[in-house]
Amino acid sequence: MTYAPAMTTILDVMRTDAQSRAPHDESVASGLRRRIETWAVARDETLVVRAPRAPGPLVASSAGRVRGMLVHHLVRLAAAGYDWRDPAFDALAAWRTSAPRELVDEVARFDAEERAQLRADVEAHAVVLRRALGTMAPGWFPRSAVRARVVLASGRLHLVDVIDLMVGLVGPYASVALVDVTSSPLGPDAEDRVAYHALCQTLRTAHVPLASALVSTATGDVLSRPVDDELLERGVGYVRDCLGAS
Amino acid sequence: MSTLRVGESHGSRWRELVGDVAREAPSLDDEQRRALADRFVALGTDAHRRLDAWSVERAPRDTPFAWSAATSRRALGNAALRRLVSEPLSVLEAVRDVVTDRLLGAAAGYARPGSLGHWLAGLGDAERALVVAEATNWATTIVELTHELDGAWRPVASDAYYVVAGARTTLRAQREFVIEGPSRVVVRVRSGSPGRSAGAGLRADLAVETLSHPHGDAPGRFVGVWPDAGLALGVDGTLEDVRAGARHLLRAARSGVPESPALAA
Repeated sequence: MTYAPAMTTILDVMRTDAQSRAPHDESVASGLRRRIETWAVARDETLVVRAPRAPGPLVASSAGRVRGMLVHHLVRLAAAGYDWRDPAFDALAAWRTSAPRELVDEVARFDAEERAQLRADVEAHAVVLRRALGTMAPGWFPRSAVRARVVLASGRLHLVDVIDLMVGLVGPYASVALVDVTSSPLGPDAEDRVAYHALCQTLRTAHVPLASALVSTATGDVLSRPVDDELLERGVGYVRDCLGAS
Repeated sequence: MSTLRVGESHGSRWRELVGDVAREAPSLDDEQRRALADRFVALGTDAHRRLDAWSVERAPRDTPFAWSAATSRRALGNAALRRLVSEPLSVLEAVRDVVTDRLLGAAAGYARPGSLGHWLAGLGDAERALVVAEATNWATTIVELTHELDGAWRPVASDAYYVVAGARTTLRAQREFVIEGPSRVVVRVRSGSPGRSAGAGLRADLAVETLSHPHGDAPGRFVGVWPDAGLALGVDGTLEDVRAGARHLLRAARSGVPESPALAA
């Protein structure tokens, strides 16, 4: 699998001309919903599905988890048009306003060397993130950490998702771009993640988004996909696999 | 008959839920208001009682209220919406302006300790940017909801409040915007997913909205929207539903559920 390096901003990569955007068609969402519910309705217990996330040493480590949260908060600050000067300090300050105390306390337990390493690490990720996001015009309706919990089959299946950055509003044509930012390198789960975000957004809003992308601040790689039948089918396939349906 | 209507927060099912509303809605007269007040008075209370849909839905007891990015987003986001109606701004710009106004108020000594302005003034730049991000999410979600409407809408100036005469009780209905038409539709936006008692909470909102109206006019429909779940529920402004809402509020008062933390603030 090859990924495009983030030479231009992620939103440049996702942008298409207005003529090529698919018109709004609610039957797409209702068709997807029906198919997934067919598999889920036989379940006795509730299953909660989340975006795939390949386990790796960085995700499992405390430093990796903290770094991921700080990068996530940098995305939120960027969506608010905030021009950070000290990314690690600013991200930590922002995180403190929303995080459970015990998570933030993890940082306080780091020794001086770990803290210096974290600071340098977050600065490097912030450079990549700034280049990838560019400057977002306020008129693009940027939203960050947008949550979804789509309940299907009378509560037997919950599709839970968080979109790091969402740009655009639903309308008569596909016009919403979804961006997931990871501080890990893109792994084999990248295509499924991009597809799952597109599926959840389609089911939640009854509007098919324009594009769905995943950006790695570790490598600068970007995986961007237009949301079409093939991508939504991949998202459905991921949910079907989680349900263990054939 | 009391009916809970189920719809979605987007597309044709959203437009149907807020558009297909009966023109005639009942009004509560002074005698009906007095009868309700008498029932609250009969319950008695030592302290001032504040009740809203949160009290009716019996959400788990929360930690004491504190301002945070999450608890401030509604106040700031709704203020930004009101600004957007009259000024050609983006949502983000409107939220920033609202925050700046609060900071100016605090700097001029108009913010009392514990108020939103006072809290904002004590934050660093990055913390305040996260507050802006949360409020922008809230306001943009409402802009998106209204974007799909066929008819006119207006943000409300405040939540609906009704002080029950002689009962040391204040009732509140949270609301975000009103859709104008032959019959008014009041919309409230909520986070997360609707729980089993969401219908009871909506009826309580409907009852307070009706009681607080200068002429006691019920709205054509009171709609709750849960954008995270893509769902919307509505209760019609029938006398049965208004009465059911009042009963839910009385029951909450009787059981002495903790007051809503947001309302207490």
